[in-house]
Amino acid sequence: MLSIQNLHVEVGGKPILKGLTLELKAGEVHAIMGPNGAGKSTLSYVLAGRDGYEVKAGSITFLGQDLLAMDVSERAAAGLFLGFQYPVAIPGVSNLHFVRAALNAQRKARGEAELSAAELMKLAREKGKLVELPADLMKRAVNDGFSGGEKKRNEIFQMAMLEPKLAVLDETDSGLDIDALRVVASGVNALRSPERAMLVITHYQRLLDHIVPDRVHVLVDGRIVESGDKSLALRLEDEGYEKIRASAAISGAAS
Amino acid sequence: MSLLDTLPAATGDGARGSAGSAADARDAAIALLRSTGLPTKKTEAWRFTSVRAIAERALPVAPTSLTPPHPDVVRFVGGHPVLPTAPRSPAVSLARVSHLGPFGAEALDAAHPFAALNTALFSDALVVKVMGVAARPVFVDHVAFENERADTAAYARIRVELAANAELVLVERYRGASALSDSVVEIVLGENAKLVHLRTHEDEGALVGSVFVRQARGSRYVSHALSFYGAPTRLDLRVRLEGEGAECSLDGVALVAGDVHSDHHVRVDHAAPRTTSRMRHRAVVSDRATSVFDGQAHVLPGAAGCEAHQHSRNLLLSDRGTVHTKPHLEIHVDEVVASHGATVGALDADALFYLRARGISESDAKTLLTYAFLQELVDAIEHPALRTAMRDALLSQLPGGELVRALEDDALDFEEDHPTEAEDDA
Repeated sequence: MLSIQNLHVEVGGKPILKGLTLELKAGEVHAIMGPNGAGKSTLSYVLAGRDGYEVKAGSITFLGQDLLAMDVSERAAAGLFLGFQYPVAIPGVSNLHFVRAALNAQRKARGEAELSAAELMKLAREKGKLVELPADLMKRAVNDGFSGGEKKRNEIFQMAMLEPKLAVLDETDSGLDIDALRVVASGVNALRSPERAMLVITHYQRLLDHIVPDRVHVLVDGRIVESGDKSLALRLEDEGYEKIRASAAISGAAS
Repeated sequence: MSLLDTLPAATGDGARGSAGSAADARDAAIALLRSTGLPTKKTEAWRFTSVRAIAERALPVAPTSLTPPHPDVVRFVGGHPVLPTAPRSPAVSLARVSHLGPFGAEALDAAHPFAALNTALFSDALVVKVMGVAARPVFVDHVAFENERADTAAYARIRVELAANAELVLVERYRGASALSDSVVEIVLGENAKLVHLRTHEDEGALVGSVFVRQARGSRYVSHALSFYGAPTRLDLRVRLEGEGAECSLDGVALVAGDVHSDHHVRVDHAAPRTTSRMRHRAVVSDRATSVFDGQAHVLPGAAGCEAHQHSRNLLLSDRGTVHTKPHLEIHVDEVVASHGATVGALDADALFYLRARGISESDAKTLLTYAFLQELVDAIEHPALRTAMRDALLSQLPGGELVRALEDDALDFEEDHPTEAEDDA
């Protein structure tokens, strides 16, 4: 589904990703863990197509297409979803109007018919239950005055509505208390399917207690330095990033 | 050649007539104009708005026409009122008068050159008197005289009087294409009266409009003014809160593109205790357009316990556009609640990316965010039909505006089938 080869990315002239390679298949959930400044958020923004992230080398293929050649909204229509670490508040745009505009824009881009108001409402009620999103939050302006937990639930609500093929969840656990974390994680788990891949980016292991990954990758200084199964996350939690960073530096110097 | 060449000689009637006659008012206006002339960019209140192109043309007053009346709408054709034919609410009387008697003083007090020009040159005025609660709005359409519109000036004059406890909604559209439309609206609100006043400026010529409001105790004046076109459009809105507890809420929107120049000058005088004024201005400026906002609130000596708020927000969508904004307060008493502020900025890049990352195209995302910037002032319109009309007027000027209309128009039957209720059922 997603193939990232030797990706080099600069932000403001500074190299951030330095040869990242990653393969993700349909139905798989991979976690990317790493210390602050390793390039986790850069990876999510490059995938989504944000301005200011300059790809110097490498390639990203998504469902057989050259992702880097596509516009931001084209990537979304092709099935890529980014769950934001800091969801943006948009005063004046109602949450439901926003989701409707997004869903219909994606459907239109794929040559599908737009959803009627009734179909949309039915879908919104169904998906809202997944993350226990109250009706008044759907009607309010997007993320405007939402708590941290409400914002993250809203991200997963949007993901449920848009039914992407690949979901990139950037620090979805940040700012959540344990109850909110459970709600968000169960929403994500409900959306796991053989057709859908997920890339869960996180600093801490605790999210992975709830969303159990098939693979765990450790991102340090712009490259994946170690990959393993879910036990790798537990080991990292015990040892911290320092040890792996040190051994990465040694292997980096040796190569 | 000058626009002032079209002024008549002073009538001289003032010497014979009683003090405060219409002739007096015209003579005083002519005298004012002869001594001060029309404003130039050296005139402080007109620093940012040039009327030179208009001032240098001796535009004749538009002739009266034989336009048939509209059943429900007052039409000003080339500045001349044509009354509607349909029966009206018994609370409302509409009259066409050829003089304003002792009135017109509000306009002269303000020493506003274009208001004086209107006083000197208007032919017939519309007088709206409201004795109770008007069931339906009064609609006033300002249109151009069909054949000679390019080379004439329209001087529309309106006086609106609300008796104590009376209520009215007044909807004015300026959509002629006269070379100059110079209108004056005088409004007098009795105790506890309420007027909601919507104006849209859609005229592609020069549009100079003045509104003078006097408010008695406990009255409310609510204004929604929208400017789309005009070369230039200039609105002077002056409110005098004369009675205790009077309130005004003055919202203005400039949605301008191309070479359009919009200028809203708003001034409130708090002349009585416990009076309240709220000004909100929002401008969206594209291309080479310009928006000027000057908002003043003066809290006069003795007017204790007042509240005055002025907020101006500006969205600059082009690096060739211009915004001048100046909210200011002048306070002569100690005990006042006041706030003011102004911002100028571009569309929020984070919000734009967020929308695009959900699949919304860049142009649609810009439309949604631009409308969202204005939405608060549309939502403030109390009457649903007028709110929709105002929204549609805005959306028609916004590239891609039909997207917002499509989203809003049929989506929300949410209330009837509430998810929390559905959960309760389960």
